[in-house]
Amino acid sequence: MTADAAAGPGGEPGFTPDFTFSIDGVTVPAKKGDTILKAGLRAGKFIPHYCWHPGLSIAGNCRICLVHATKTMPPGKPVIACATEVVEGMEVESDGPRTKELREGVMEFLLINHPLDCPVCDQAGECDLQQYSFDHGRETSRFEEEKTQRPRKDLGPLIRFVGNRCIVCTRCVRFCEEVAGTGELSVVNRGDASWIDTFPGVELDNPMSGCVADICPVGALLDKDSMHSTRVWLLRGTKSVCAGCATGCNVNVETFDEKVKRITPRENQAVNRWWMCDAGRLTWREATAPARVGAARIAGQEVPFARALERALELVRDASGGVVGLTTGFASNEELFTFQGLVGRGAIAAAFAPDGATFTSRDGFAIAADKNPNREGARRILGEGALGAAGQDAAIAALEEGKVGLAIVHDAAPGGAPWSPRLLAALGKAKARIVLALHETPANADALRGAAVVLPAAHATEKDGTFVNAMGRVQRVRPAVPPPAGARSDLDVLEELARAAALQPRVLSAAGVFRRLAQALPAQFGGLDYNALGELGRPAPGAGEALLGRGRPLPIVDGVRSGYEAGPVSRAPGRADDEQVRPSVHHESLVGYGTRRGDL
Amino acid sequence: MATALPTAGPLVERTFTPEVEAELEALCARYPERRAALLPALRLCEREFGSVDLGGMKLVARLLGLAPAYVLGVVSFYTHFRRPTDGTYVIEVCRTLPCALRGADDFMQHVERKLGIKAGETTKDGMFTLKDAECMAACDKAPLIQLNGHNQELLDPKTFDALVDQLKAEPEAFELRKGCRDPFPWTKPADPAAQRTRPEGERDYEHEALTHEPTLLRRCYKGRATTLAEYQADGGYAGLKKALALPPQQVTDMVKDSGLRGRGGAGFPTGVKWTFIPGEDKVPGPRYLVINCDESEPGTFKDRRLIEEDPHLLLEGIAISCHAIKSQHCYIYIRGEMVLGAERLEAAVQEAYAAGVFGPDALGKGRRLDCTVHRGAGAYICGEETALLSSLEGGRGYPRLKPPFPAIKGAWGQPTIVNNVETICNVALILGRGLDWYKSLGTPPSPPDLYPKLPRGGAGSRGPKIWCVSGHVQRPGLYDVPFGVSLKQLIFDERFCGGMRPGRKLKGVIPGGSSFQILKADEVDVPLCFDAVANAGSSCGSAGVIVLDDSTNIVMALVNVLRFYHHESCGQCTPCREGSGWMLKIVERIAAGAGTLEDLDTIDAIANQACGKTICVLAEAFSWPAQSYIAKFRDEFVEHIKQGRNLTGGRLCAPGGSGK
Repeated sequence: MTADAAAGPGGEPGFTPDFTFSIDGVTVPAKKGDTILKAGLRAGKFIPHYCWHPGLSIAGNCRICLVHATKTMPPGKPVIACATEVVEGMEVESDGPRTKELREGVMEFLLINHPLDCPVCDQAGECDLQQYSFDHGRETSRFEEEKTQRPRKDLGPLIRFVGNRCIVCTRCVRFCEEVAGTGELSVVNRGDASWIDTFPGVELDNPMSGCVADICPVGALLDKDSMHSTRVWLLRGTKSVCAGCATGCNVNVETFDEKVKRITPRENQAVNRWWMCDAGRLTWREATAPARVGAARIAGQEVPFARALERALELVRDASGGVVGLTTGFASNEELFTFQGLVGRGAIAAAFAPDGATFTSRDGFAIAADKNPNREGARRILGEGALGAAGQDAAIAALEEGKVGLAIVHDAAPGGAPWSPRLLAALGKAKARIVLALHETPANADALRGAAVVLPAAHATEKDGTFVNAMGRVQRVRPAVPPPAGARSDLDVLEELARAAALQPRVLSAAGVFRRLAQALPAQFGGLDYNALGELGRPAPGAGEALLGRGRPLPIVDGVRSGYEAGPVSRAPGRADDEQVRPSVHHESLVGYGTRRGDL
Repeated sequence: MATALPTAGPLVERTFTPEVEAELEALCARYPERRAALLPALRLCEREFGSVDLGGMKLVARLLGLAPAYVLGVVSFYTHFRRPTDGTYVIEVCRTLPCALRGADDFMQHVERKLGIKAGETTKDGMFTLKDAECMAACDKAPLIQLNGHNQELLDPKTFDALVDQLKAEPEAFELRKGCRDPFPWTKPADPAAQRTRPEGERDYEHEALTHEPTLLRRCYKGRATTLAEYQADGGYAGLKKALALPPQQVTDMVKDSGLRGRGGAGFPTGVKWTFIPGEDKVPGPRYLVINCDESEPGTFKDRRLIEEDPHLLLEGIAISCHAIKSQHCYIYIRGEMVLGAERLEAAVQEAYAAGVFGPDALGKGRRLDCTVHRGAGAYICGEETALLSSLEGGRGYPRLKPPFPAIKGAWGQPTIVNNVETICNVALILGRGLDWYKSLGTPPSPPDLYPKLPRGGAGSRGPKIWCVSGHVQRPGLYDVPFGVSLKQLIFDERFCGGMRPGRKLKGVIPGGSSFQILKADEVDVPLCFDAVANAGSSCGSAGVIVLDDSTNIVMALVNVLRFYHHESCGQCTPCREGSGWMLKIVERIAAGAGTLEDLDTIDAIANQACGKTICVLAEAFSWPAQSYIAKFRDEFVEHIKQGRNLTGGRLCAPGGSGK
C-alpha cells in the first residue's frame, strides 16, 4: 500500500464508507471492521487515547477511550472505543456527561501514583497526561495516601526510564515486539508494582529505539539526546527530511535559538510510517561536530565569507581550460542541477558514502544501507556516467591531461566524501580549486589542502531544496537553522558561481531551480511542481516498485495484526535471533563528530 | 513499594543436558507453539538448577525462541517459581481471609518467631525462606503452610515447631511429609429414619438435599487417588462409552438439556457455551477444551479435592466433552501451587492413555484425543478464562479483550471451551447416570417474578454441588449437597457444619468466594442456588462459603480481602491497577484509626469508577466486598473512624476455638 500524498499523513486512498454511525449526533462514515476510535479519527472526531497507537496492536488497557455506545453487549456497559467495532447505526456518546464521568474516573486513577513533577519533566508541554488532565480531569485529587515508587534507570544508550511517571500503556513494549521485532522491553511484576524493564545485560539498543520516547504518551521514556535541553513549547518545528540515509524519513527538525535541539519523526505512510532510526535522529550533531568547516578560507587562511565568495566568483570568471566537478550524494537536486550547469561539458564525479547498517522492521520500515540521502537524485540528474568509478575515472583522466583550469568540489557529505586517493592526487593538477565542504576529515583533507577557496557547505538541517529517496519519492528538505556565521547556502553559492560564469542572468531560489530542472529532465522529474510537493513529497516518474531491486526496499507492509490477535503483551515476540538483528553500530556512526555513546 | 525483580544474583550461563533438552522438545510438541512450553520449561530450570535464575531464563529464551526480556516479564508475573535466593525449604503461609479467620495471623507470628525471620526473608543458614502466600485452596485445613510446594495442614504452634525441628534434625523427613495426610469427610451419612414423605405435588428441595448421598465426592477421602480400575469398578467410564455411541451434537444437547451451569463462578449454562463454537465450515482447524483448575478464589477448595482423589471423574468428563465439541486436545490448566494435584492428575492421565481413554484411537474411527496437564505458577488472575489462555500460551496472565470470546477465538486463536473442573465432572455424571437422574437434583429454572431481582426469571441450578465451607463453623469442609439446600441449614445443621464455634453467633456469610458480597446473619435463610442467592444480592460464585462470627472485625476482614485482590491485580487496566491499591490504602488507614467519614464515600466512588470499566472482573472482585461490607456494617466502619482506633487492636477475630 502506498499512500498518496493527497490523502494526508494517515491517509487511506480510496476510502469508501460501507455505512454510517454517529458520534455525539454527528454522522460518521465507516468501513466494516473499523473501530469507533479509528472511524472517529478519520472523520476528525478525536477520542482521547493513551495505549492505542495506529502503528501498534490494540492493547485496550488504559481505558481512557471508554465511551457509551448503543448496539454493544451487554447494553449499558461502557466500551473502549479503540477496540470496539462499529456497526451500522451505532450511536456513540463521546462528549456527554456519562462519558465525562468515565474519563474523570480514569484520569483520577492515572494520576494518583503519578508524581506532580511537570515543572521538571521533559514531556511537559507535549504530554497526553497533562493534556487530558486539563481536558477531562478533575481539579482536585481525593488521593491522600503515599504514592507507589518505581525505579528510574537507563534502558539503553538513548533511552532513560522514569518509572514513577509510567502509566503502563505498553506502547513501548509493543513497539519493540511488533515493529522493531527485537523485544528488549517487557512489563515486569504485576499490579501497581509493574513497570517497564529490560533483561539484565540486554539493553534497549535496537536501531529504532528512540521511537519509544516519541510514542510514550507521558514522560516515562525520555530521549537522552534531547533530555533537559529545551522546554518543548519553545521549540520551533521545521518539516523536513532526514539526510541519514536513502530512506528519507519525514522529520520535524526542532530548534530553539537557531540551534537544532532534536529531530523527531513525522508520519508519512509512504516512507517511514511513524518512525525513524536512532542514527537519523542524531544526524543534527553533524552540524555542530568539531570537524565542521565553520569559516571560509582563501589559500588556507580564514577570511570573511563574502571575501572568499568574491574570490571564488573571480576564479570562475577568469577560468580558462576545462572544468571538473566533484559532488556527493548529499547534494540536493537543485544543487546538483546548478552544479551540472556550472561544470558544463567537463567531467563530473559523484562520490557516495559507503553502505552502512541496514534494518527492516516488522512493519516494513526500512533503514537503507545506502547512506546517501540523494543518490537517486544524483542518478537522475547527473546520469549513470557520473556515478561510481566511471565518473571518477573520467575526472581523473581529464585532470591528468593537465588542461583543467578549475576544479569545483562540492562536498556536503558528513565525514567527508570518500573520493579515491587517485582522484584526490589528480585534483592538484587543476589550476585552481574551489571547495565547498561540510566537514574536514582525513577523508577529504587532500581536497581542502591547496584549495584556492574553501567555503563552508550547508548541513541538511540548513538546506532548502529536494531529495529523491530510494523509492523515487521527491521530498522537500527545509532549512531549520541558518548556515554557519555569514555563510550562504550551497545552492546560493553555486547559483552565484553560475551567474559569474555567465551561464544565467540571475540567481534563482530552490523553487526556481527546481522548475528549470523539471522542465529540463521530463523523464526524471516531469510533472512535478515544487510548490505541490507538500509536506509528504511526491513520487517522481518511474518511482516505486521498479526501484525495489536496486535501491533499498521500502515495502510498507499493510497493517500490524490488530487487537486480540496480536496483543502486545499476550503474544510472543517469536524471534530467536535477536542478537543478529541488532546492529548496534548505528550509535558508533557518530563517533568522530564529538559524540560518544557515553555522552548520550 | 517497589517490588524487587527476580533478577538477583550474577548471570551464570546455564545449559540443559541433552536428556533435559529432549524432555523440553517433548513438552514443546504438546503445544501448537513453542512459546507455550515456557512455564513448563521454567519448571525444568527449577528442577535442574534449583531455582529460576537469570541464566535459566536466558537459556529458556534461547531454546524457545523468545526475547530474554519477555521471559523475565513472564517470570516476574508469577509468584510460585523458586528464586535463586530461596532457602532449602520454602515455607509459604496462607493468610487470606478463610485462613485468617482460623488463626493464620497468630500462626504467622509464631512462625516468624520460631524461624527468626519475617516474610520474604531467608534464615542465615540458608535453610528456611518464609513467604506470604495467597489462598492455597485448602481453606478448611487452616492454619496451613506449603513446604516446598506440599501442604502441611491443620498446624498449630506445637506441630509447626515439631516440623521445623524434624527438618533440621533429619533432612530426609521432607519426603515423608509429601501428600495429603488427613482426609476426613464431615458429611455424616443420611439417617434413613429422617426420610420424610414428600408432600403431594410439591418438592422439598431442602429435604432432598439433606438425604442426598454424595455423588461428586463419593470416591474421595481415601488419602490417595482413585485408580482407573477402582473408578471403572464403580461404574466409571460407562458414560464415555455411551457418549461415544452418540453423535456429538446429541451429547451437547444432553448437556444443554441437563441445565448444568458452570461451577467456576459465573454460572453460565455449559451446554449453551458449547454451542457458541462455530462450525468447521466457518472456522477450520483444531478446537480446544481447556479445563480451568486454577482454583484460587479464597474460600474455594473443591476442585483440589476432586483432582487429588478422583481424577478419573474429571478425565471421563473431558473425553465426553471433547467428543461433544469435536476437540482433539484438552489442556488441564492447574494451579502451580497444587503440586500434589498435578502429580496425581498426571499419573491418572498416563493411566487413561494406557487404557485408551486418550491416545490415537480414543474417539473411535482413528480419531486422536490428547490430554495435557499444564501447571500455572502462582497468579490468581489466571483463573479468569482469557488470562488462563494467555498463561497457557506462555505469556503473562493478562486477560484479553472480549469479544471475541474464547469459543470463537481462544487458545492460539482457535475455538476453545474453558470449563471448570467440577463442571466437567458433572458432564461425566450426566452421561454416566443419565439425564433423568441429573435433572432430579437441584432447583428448576425460576419463573419470572419469583425473585424480584430477576424479573425475567433464572436458569435454575441443576445437579449435585460441592460447597466449600470455611471460617468460623464447627466443621469446615466440603459438602456434597445438591443445589437447594439452605445456607442456614448448611451452616447450622448437625449433618453439615454443625453451627458456629462455641459461644459465638453468626455475623455474616460470603456465599461464593471472597470476591462476592456478604450476607448478614438475617439474610442466610436462602436456598443455595444461583437464582436465589443472586436475588439476595450476592452470588453462589465458586461455592466458597466463608462464615464469619460475631467476633470478626469487618474492617480487618476488608483489609484482608483487599490485600489479596491488590496483590493479584494483573496491572493491565488503569482502574483496577490503581484503584485496588488506593482502596486498600484507605481501608488500612481506617483500620489504623486515621480514617474519615469522607473515606467511605471515596471507597464507594473508587468502586463505581472501577466496576465495569476493565477488561476482566477483578475490579468487581475488590469493589463488591468493599461496597457490601460498608453498606451492611457501616456502623462498624464509622465507629473505627469516630474512635480513631482499631476496635479489636488490629485483630481480625477472636482467636482459637475451631471447635473440632
